[in-house]
Amino acid sequence: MTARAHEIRKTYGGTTALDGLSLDLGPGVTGLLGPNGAGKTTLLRILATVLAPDAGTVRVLGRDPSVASERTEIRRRLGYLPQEVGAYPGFSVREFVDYVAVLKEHTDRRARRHEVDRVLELVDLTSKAYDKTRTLSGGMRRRLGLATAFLGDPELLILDEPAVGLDPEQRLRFRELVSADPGRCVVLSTHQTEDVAALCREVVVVDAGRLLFRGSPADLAASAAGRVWRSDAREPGADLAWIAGDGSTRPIGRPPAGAELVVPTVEDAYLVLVGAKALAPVGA
Amino acid sequence: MEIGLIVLLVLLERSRPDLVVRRWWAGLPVPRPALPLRVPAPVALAGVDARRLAFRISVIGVAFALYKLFWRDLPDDAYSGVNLTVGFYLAFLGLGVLAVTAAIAGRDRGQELLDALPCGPRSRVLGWVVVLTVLAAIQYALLAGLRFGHYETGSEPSYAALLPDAWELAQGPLMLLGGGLLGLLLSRLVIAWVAVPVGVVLGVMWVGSFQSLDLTMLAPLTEWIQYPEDGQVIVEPGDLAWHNGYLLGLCGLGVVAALLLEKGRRTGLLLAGTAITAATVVAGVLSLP
Repeated sequence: MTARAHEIRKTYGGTTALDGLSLDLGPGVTGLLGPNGAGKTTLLRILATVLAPDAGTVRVLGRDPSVASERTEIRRRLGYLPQEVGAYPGFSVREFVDYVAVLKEHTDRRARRHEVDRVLELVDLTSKAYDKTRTLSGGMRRRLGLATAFLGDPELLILDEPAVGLDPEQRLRFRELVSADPGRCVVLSTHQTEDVAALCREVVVVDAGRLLFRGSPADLAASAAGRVWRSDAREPGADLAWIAGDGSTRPIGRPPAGAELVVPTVEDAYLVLVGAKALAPVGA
Repeated sequence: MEIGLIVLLVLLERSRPDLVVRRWWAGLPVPRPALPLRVPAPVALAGVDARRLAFRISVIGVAFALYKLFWRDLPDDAYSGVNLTVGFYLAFLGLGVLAVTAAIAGRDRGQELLDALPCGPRSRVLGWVVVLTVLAAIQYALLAGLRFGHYETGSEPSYAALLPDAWELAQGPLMLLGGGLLGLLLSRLVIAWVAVPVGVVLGVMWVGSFQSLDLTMLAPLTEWIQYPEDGQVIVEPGDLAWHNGYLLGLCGLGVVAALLLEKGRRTGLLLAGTAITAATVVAGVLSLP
């Protein structure tokens, strides 16, 4: 296992972010799904050694992050993209990536220059290399963060909502980038279930700091079989329902009269799992 | 011999299970680093920071040199229009600017990204120290050269006069350290790097206005440069104005050390350090003769 969390707990004041969550992560892309405040970011921060759990044990790349020397070794082999990259506004794109590269101990100037060129090319930011980071759009900043995460070709990639703000072309490029090495362990949190369906070998659904589901995207979709419908009218008793692009209503939960059973998607299954907590019924 | 090697390997394995030698001993493939590691990270960081901040520091230095040359009365025996104290002021300001810029850059921005990197805040601080140490060394060499040249061409050549005593030598690093730490402290309170040089210049001018002999917190050092009697200074090391600056630096040191070591409790420590530092300055200024 590349990373392992066992019975980890984390609280912020009186709020419980993680409540005895256990998880094993191996090679391939694992997607973390969950509503806001579910504990996804806290879990990723713990795996990225930025945060220590209040209780439980964590092993990352075979090492214990609570030991300083082992934590440093983990960080050498880790690529981390936090929710907020916070690139220094006075730096150019190249300067910022170069600075992070130095902090990743890429101290040989010539090799570092090549590495910076490589990751900028990976995320398609070469043409913006000399622009100040404050001039970048949200999507470009996300790509800048991805560039820093890919520095040194890390064994473990931890990406917190990496596809936010990316346009469709860049999202495809991102998928290609993340899935290029099947031997690498990639953990990403996202609200975009289509990314999970397209990209992930495994999906983990977290809610209220607990594990709700773990399996393949196909398994997740299959878990909602028989609970997703298409009907002409909204069913008041449905757990959730929305009007699709073709004008039909797509209720989830109890079958409305005359509704047609449909094959659930990953998103359907996620909504079935998380239910009304994730989305308040609209127009009910 | 072999037993010694085995013992060594066992010890290495116990202390660093990730070591290449251990993997080699176990017959495992030895991973090559993605990039060659030739220079310690703080040194590489120092290079990056120095290049990035060189322009700002040089602008401040030139501005301060102009101020010292044209807007201040030089002592009678100052050297032909060149005030040799400029270099030290420059170093002091440079470190302050360097520290405050880097700290402001890190403040509230990208901290989480940096927290997950192998080089932590200590490496960054060490990088700044490396920059300033090199800067200070160059200035020492330059000033000593100027002083030596003056005596060689003047009437009183004296190699002995080039040799400062331990106290004089200690003042430079202490001053630089204090400047940098003060910059780090100020970075928590100000929003722009310009505040540091402006504040220091105004402070030095203000404190200096109390004195008839241009007594500033840098006075003992500047005296050594300007009045090169071997090991003697007109202003005593215990001079209050100097001492205030020294204490300020030490307070900053304490605060920054605490900030670095006590993650997550920065606000309280910062406020405490700021209060102590401010009280020190006020008390020192009030007690000036």
